[in-house]
Amino acid sequence: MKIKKNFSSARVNAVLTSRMKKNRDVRIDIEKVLDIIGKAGEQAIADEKRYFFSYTKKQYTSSKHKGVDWREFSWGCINTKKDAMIVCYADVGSFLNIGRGYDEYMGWAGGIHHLRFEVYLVVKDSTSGERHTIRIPPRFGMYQSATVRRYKEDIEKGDCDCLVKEAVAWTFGLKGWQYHPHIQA
Amino acid sequence: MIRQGDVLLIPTQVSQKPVLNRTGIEIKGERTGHSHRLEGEVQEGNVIHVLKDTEMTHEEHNAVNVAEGFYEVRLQREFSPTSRGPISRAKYD
Repeated sequence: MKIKKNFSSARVNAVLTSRMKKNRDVRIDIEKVLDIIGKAGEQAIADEKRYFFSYTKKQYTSSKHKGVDWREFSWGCINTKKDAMIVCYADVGSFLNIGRGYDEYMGWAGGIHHLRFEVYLVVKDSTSGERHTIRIPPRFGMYQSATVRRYKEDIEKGDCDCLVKEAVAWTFGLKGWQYHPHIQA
Repeated sequence: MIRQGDVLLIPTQVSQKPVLNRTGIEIKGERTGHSHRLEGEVQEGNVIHVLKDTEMTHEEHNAVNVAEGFYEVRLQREFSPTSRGPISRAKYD
């Protein structure tokens, strides 16, 4: 009953309108920020369309429930060399209620909405200068996770190098301190 | 440690693993079909043996010099939310 009350159509529309407006603005910003990393190649355009701009709203109606899902940019951070960045998207839904708590591995965070974090690593190809998007575990973007909390002080100061390096190292199955390529092409 | 695109070569200790291929090393990406090539032997367990200093070449990336020795090959992987455990998949090559 609580869900139904909270998600009356008037409330859904009000929330949706504000979120959609915000999302449109964010989309422009995200594209500008991604351009800092590198130009978009054919593959990057396809990946970004799927990962970042696949949908901003899904609406559905059942016999007992009317709901809406939306998707929005949550936060991101870029390293000082500006060759890699972490982009975190939040997928918010009104229908499922998974309870309190969170799953760091799958990126779930409970509450009255279901909230799922999707985290991406955007890296620059040092030869072509193009950018590539790689999906990484949510623990690199969820504020609740131990990984982000470990670097919380640095992130608050605006220094994300360690977190970004940790994420890049993960893509090769290594820890941040193990990853130090002396030749890169 | 040498990186060329989505391939990382990590120097390892002398390996005594069985040799699978003596003719050369070709590490293929899944998406574009491009491959990283160098001279050496392929051993079991993603280990390669570079017999003499050589170059690793690729269609899109600059060539890198690889010194003689044993290397473990790591391919860049991506997180997959549908399964527990990351999936190794070449994102770009």
